[in-house]
Amino acid sequence: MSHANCHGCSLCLLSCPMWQQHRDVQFSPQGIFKALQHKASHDDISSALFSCLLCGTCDILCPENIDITETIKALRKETFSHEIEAELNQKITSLLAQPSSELKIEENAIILPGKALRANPMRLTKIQSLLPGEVDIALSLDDGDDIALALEAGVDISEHRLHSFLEPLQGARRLYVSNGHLLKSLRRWLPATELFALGHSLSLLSDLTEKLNKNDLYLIEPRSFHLDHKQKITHYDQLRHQQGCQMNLDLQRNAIPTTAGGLHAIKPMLDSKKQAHWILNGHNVKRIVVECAEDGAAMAQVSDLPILHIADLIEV
Amino acid sequence: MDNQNITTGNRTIGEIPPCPVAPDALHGIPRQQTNPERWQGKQWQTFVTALQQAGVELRLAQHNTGTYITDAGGLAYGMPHGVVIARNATQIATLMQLAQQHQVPVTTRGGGLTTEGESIAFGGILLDMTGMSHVRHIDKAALTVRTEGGIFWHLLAEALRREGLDYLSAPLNLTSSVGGTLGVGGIDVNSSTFGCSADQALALQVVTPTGEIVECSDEENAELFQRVILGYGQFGIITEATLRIRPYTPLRMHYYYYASLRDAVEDLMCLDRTQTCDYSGILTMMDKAITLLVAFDSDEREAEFLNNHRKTLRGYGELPFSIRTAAYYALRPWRIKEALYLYQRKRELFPDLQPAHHIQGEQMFDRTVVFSRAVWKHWGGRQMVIPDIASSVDKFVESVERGNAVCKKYFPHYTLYCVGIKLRAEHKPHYELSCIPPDAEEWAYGCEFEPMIGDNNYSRDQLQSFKNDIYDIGVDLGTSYYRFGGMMKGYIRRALGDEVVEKHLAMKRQSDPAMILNRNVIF
Repeated sequence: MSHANCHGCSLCLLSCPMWQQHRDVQFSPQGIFKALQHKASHDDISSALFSCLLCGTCDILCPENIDITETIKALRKETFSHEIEAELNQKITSLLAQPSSELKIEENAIILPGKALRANPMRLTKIQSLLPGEVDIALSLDDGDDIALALEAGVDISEHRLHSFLEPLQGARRLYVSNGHLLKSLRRWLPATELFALGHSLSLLSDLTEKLNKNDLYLIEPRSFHLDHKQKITHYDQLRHQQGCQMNLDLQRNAIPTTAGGLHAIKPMLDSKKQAHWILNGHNVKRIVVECAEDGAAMAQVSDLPILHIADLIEV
Repeated sequence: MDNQNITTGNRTIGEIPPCPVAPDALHGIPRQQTNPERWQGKQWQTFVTALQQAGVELRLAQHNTGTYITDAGGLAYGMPHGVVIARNATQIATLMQLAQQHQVPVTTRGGGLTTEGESIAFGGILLDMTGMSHVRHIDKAALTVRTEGGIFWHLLAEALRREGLDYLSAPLNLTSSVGGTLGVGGIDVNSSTFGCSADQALALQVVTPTGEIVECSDEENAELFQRVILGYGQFGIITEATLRIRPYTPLRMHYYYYASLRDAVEDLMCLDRTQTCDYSGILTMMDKAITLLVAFDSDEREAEFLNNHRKTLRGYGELPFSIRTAAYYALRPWRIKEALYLYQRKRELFPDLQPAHHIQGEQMFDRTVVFSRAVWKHWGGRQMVIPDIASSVDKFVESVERGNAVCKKYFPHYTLYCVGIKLRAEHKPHYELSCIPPDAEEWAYGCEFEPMIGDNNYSRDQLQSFKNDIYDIGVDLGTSYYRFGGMMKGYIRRALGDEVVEKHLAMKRQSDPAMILNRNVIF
């Protein structure tokens, strides 16, 4: 299914953060796809294309089963080839050119924590000890943040860079990945490896989640959540009912994203405060608990409430 | 050949000329046709210049106008000359003043969920109301909400749920807009308790076809209020609405299964009449497998029903009905295809009507999300035709049975969706020239007849012929319709009579001298 299959039902608008902010169908998957059906140029749709958070809510809602986020990424790639976003392209390309380690990690399990989590070594050590497994869990030397960014933006990744990123991971049986964009591609690149979303894996640990209560607003990491929505919604729904905590779930049971991290950190296209306010709206809570460290920073912009990473719910 | 009288009861309400599709067949309303004539763009350039000078943003590119080329029906196609995204009442007032002056048609569109081309602009301006979709104010004490008219019901529900509140009733399709719904009715499985969605409106801010911004309600500018509510967009653009709301409650759901359409419909009406449940509706898989939905807002109501009223229903529970149906087909092996279809349909549909993540214990949360997604998944498609009949209590069983026979004649598979609509006696003036039939008292009933088109490729002729056959039942019985605008407007005069049409036509001419607002939807 491609953008040519969109028949304009508007369901993708219902949970779309960019539509919510603009209230203009142009800023929605439907608007982009319909415009393309009527021969819009790359220039015509560039602004909307790069406003998309790729949160994946629309993938769940589309009755035509169009893989909307992949389609948008592919369209971004085409846009780059037309040099509309030359500056952004240059920035990401230079990140991809950074030297990286090809040291193979001989461990059964590896965590790819990402930049924000890596900034807190104590928390990271705690996560290593919390995750299940009989053997030690190693930290990757290369988070692939640049690759995740390139995937998000539709920038070409050289074979050399991809090889240098994947080679050290080849020996691992299990990978815990913080970045939802990366998780999706890693499934394709490493089909024999068991791949888990780091935040979701932590949310399965009852030692942590039993500390949640009705005064907590729990922020699910949306990208990996929407990737396996059918399986994961049951878990989070149970968690919500058991602990009484509130979540960033909308009525469709999709996770409302912040604008944190990724492409929006380089080129903000949506109002991050507005988005954080929408997440908070109507929730009478005393604490915010996040699966993804970047989301904590986004919420701190608009809230004085204590913000905890899920791993911080217990002391080890 | 002479004209033929159209009668309802003993009353003659109009006449059908020898050829019902001749240009002179319907006085004041052009002949039946699939696409209205396109507006040719006279004075367009001077209008564009004036609009731009007034600071109204106009989108003219093909990829902008093409976005709105069709509606949910996918049968009518038309391109506007330009698109305006609604932003506020002042902007729309300016647009309407200039459009009136230059005689440029303006078509309003919310969710675009019409099926007869009503939200398609055949030239002129397409005004996209979804640009005005913010909740203005929630009054928890008075249980009212003030919202912009272009808001999707889903977004309104989302905002209300954060406050533990809910709307009273809304269409089962959540991409319907509030303004569009108030203009045509809006039915839900609790309409038999709360009335149609349009009856929730307490007050409106309206931009008239001549560009005045007017606040109206039953107390203030009541005549305009009466015309705009259920007015099919003919008398004004709803820019804001104050609606009644209520505390949110999850649902206690029960499904009962019938092999007889008549039994199911009679039981539905009995439930409504005795007010023993809070939600009721019929959904068919086939006319031998009919589901009656019965639901409650509270445990007490549910218990009272189960203890005192359940036994009066002729429907079966899921297991007994499955056994009964299996036995029926076991004795009729030549109908194995039918049995397989039923089995397959049940397997696909039932899990989506009771998804685990919307169920807690015995209660369903956010029913409209569940139903709306199921509607799109199992009934949605590139083409949709949903002719309907809206009748009084007395005529409903016959309407449904005759409609069902028509469906059977045209399609192997189809669905019937029936609900009751509680009427408000004081709103009688609102109901004139609307889906509420003039002879309905206390309740009206609606039945939608939706063929399962799927990947089949039906010609527009066949689909139009099917709709005509359904609507002819309405003419014969003297009912009304929900979807009587756009491509089906040829039936208005035949169903509702000359007198009421002439009255509304005169009012339309007075309020919209250039006849530009939502042209061809009704007038």
